[in-house]
Amino acid sequence: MSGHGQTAETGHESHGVGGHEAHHELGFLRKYIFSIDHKVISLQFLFTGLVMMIIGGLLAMLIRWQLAWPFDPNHKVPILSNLLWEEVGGTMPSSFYAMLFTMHGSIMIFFVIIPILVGFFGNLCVPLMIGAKDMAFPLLNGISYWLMPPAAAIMVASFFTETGAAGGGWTSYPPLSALGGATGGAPAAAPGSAVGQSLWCISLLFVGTSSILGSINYITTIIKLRAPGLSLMRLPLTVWAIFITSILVLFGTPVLTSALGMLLFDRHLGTNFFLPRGLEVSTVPYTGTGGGQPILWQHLFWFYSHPAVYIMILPTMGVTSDVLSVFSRKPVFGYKPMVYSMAAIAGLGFIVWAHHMFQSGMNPILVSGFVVSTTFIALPSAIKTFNWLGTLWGGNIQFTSAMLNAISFVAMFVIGGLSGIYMASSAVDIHIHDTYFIVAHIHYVLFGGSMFGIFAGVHFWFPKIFGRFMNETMGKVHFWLTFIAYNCTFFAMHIVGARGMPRRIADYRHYEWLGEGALQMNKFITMSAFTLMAIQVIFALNFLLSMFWGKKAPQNPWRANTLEWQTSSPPPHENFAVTPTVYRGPYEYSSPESQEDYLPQTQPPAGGSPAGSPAYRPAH
Amino acid sequence: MTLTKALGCTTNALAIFGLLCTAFFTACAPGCGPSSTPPADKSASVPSATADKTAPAPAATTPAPAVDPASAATITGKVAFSGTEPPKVVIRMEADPNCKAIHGTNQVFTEDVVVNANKTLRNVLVYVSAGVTGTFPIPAETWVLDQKGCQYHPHVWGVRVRQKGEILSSDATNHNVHPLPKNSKLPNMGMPNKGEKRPITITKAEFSPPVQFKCDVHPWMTAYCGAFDHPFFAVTDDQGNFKIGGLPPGKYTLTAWHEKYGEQKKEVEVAAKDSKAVDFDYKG
Amino acid sequence: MDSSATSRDGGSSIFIRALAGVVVGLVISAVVLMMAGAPPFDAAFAQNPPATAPATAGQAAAPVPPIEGATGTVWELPVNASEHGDAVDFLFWLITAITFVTFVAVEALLVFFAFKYRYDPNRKAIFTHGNHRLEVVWTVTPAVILFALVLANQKVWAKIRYGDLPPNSTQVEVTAQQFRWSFKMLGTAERFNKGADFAPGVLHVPLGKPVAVSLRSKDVLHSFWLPNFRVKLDAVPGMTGRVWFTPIKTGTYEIACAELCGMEHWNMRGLLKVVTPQEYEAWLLEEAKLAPEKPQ
Repeated sequence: MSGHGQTAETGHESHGVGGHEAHHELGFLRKYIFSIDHKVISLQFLFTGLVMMIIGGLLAMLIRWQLAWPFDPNHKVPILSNLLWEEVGGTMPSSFYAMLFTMHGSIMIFFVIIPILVGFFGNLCVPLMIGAKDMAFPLLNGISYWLMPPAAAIMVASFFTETGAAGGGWTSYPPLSALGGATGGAPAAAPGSAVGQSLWCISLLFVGTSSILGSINYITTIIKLRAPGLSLMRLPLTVWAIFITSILVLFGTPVLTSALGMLLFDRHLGTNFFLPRGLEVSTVPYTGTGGGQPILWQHLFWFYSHPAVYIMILPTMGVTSDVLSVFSRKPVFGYKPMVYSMAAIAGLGFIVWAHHMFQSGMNPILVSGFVVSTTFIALPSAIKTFNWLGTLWGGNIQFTSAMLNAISFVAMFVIGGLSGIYMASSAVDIHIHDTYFIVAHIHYVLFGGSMFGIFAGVHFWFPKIFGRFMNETMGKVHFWLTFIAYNCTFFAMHIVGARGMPRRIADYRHYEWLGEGALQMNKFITMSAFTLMAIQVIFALNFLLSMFWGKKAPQNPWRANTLEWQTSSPPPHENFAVTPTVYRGPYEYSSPESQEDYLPQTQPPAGGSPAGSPAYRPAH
Repeated sequence: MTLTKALGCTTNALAIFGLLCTAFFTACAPGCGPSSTPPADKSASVPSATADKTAPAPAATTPAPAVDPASAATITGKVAFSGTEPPKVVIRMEADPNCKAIHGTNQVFTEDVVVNANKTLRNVLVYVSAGVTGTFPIPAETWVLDQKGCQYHPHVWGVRVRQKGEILSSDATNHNVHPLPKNSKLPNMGMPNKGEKRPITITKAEFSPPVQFKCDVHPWMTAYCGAFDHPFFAVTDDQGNFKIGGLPPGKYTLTAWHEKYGEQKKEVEVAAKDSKAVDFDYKG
Repeated sequence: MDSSATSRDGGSSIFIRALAGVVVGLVISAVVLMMAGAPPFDAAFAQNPPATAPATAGQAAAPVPPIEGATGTVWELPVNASEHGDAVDFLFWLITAITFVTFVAVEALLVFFAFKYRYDPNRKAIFTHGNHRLEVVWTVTPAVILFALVLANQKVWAKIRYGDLPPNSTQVEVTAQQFRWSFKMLGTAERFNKGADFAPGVLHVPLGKPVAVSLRSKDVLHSFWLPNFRVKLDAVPGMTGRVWFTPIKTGTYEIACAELCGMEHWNMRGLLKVVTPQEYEAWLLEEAKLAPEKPQ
């Protein structure tokens, strides 16, 4: 059944749910800064995300520096060492290292991947792909974005406080993160547990609010504003992915918000949600009343953060499905299974959280329960992988930059997903928990998956956004170099991790069980990481130069079916001159019904066949 | 993409972000967090006419203050120990093989109670606790705390408030220097490399009890540092002797502090160019 | 319809470009590898001896105990000295086998399809929306394999974690704090009539007998990790964790902290020494000499 909130009139549009002042010219501030147009907001999310990615990437480079030359006065960090550590001998203090990995993780997750996947792709794709003028709540959309710059500013500013940024890991487990020295008489449990940790909490409260407001918008828009004929089962998978992701955001984020609030209260108001009795910090007793449970934080945190990792992959799964289909000139293999498996990932995603806590001291019987759900969440991802293979099979594949990145998404996500099977086994997890094996897994799904998905989506929709192409040669060079450097960087982490190199440590050379070769492998990883970061300059240049001087792009350069390609590049302010009518699903490529190898969703079928009615669905 | 539109988008992402960053930096940097003075405070060392160094080695003398030497008095004395010497406790260093390797088969004992051969107590901090008036220039010399053989050298010493100090690690193992001051703020430092130095300055007086230094990694490593506003302090040596010189004539209270046996006080009055003997006796 | 800007290249040139990309990548990799340690670059990247270098030459240094677990290269799992370690390692290799086969199959198909179905303007793609039977096959098959893995894990997990501390074991209390481990040999005060249970610097345990660990923390979360025994349990303040293992090889092994606990988390290394039962009894007698006497 198609649900729609707009009339299918031509010409002057009624001011329905998405109506706003479309009749007079907005000033510069209202048009480009405090815009409520989803297209501008999507770019705001993208640019903010890309800037934070540079910061997060630089933090990673510093982490890798320390791991290649731990406490080495002959290899001081350029610039920073002279600026900050001259008095302490020039080497990086381990408390600073803790801040590096904490902030690298926090920034990449909350300020890069989530804003780009949900804020950029969601805002860009959803209204255009469903034939709507804008989001259901455009002002809310703008507010959702504008919560991000203050959050980012607070997060970055925390580095400049006297005690520095938060240093308890992006997971911020109490009591380390709760003992900030502000209450209870005991000193802070670490320099990174002082004011930087409170700023971290506050920053994430802003981000969480931004996410929740966004999710309400996406869900409403997708349910209410679809064009006539666009039933749910005719939605492109990108839209389905955003829809399901938004449900995850809506139900998961409030739990994180609560946990952050509780942590702030423990830190400043003397509550004891996470602080048990009898603590002492460096022999100084903590005088709070206690009675709290540190493991409670872990439950609350992971109840959000596990769905969060699916938030960080589902949108790019949808984008990949779309890109693979367009450039294979073939329908997505198994559309319904693809939708159901995304829903299964989301649903199961809410009942697996404690696999992050297998060794936490939690009841082992409870652990067994989570082993079952965690092992089975591999299944829908496997189904999706097979369906992607099926999409490629028998196709007519065009290796554009977008396509290369999308294929790489599948290839790398498979590795990340398979390494996750080790973690689903609680007994094997005894060995690999808190080692670099986990770090390898994380980065295979986040960089190998989401990042390549972002590259694919950007290359794909760039012509639509800017009316210009990104340079294909630069795109391919960037892809291949990134692919190689990325695998060199992160595959080796599986190896050191399986050998037992712990994560979150500033030096590992004194751990003799690591055997021969750990230092060399870390140096190799560092060099590959430096190379990887340098290569991203190619993408940045390609993006920036193409914005102004890229070859002009037509309305539908990729000869694609979905609605966004049936309007101009870039689209007008209200997206469509006329509200489109949808006659079929989004993946009718190489259809026998058409002489071309594509058949747009809005193209009316030939003749007076029953297929002329938008609700008609062929029985294949 | 027009230039105007690009500028707009970039402005969103960068300019306001930057402004907010600056605002927070300005607001947070001085105001946030517990107020403290930066640890590596390069205090202004007023050059003084000191002849002796504030050597942390167990020398019993004090720096000669900028007091009229013509009338300066001296207090010398001994801290006896007439109690039962507690059994020596061996330090278990095997948890860190690098520490153990330095000492080989030699046994190392804890330093909380060190009774000299002549039945006197070593490592007793003796200082003038009442009767001092005026200010005294801060010596220019840097005091040194060394970590050698996984022990602090010295074990007990006195320094001047705001006098420059240096912590040294002579061991090829990771040490952690964790001071526990009550009155001032001192950083918790990791020192992973041999030969590393860290500057340190104690900014407020603390001597009752003195500032405790400990190592989080090696639990037997403790040291005590008294920080004084005046130069009238000394630590008993391996003969149990101490000497506090350069005192202006007057009435003073002398306090002896031992880490296990606590404080003892004695009143003393010195005239110009006096040399008084004041002894303490700990009974254990 | 305007001409598309998609690369309608003939089949060969994309692969020439891919080859060029791979060559460039290999060159970069070679440079990276050289810089990572091959001569003469290794001199440039030489660094101070690591913090664990023993005493300088010339001193009568006691030999630093060799670490049994230090054998092997980073490419192998660490040596296993624990009774249940083989079961855990078996699961690891079983999963490796399953995932390796899956990995090779999927990636091979991916590359094969990319080659075989590359663009040809004279061909139209196969127009299909899916295959129901295939969906069933590739849903049920992985499900069965995954279920088997659940069962395999449950068997091992229940054996090593269900229930409580085994009776007739060496009872040890391990306390974690910032930034070291301390040990208490429970029951020794009573057995040797001393004032307190023995608190050794290096944890000694006898071979072949279960070690029952009561795990505590004084300040923040730590994690008691014995890499060579496949034992890991978080030390949670306010709780006493219980974990046990049976050592099957003598030697000195390391303890590491596996949960971020502050500044010196990286250096929270302890030592565990597995000795024969006779050596253990002898060691207890030595410890008894150092333990405090009972107060009169």
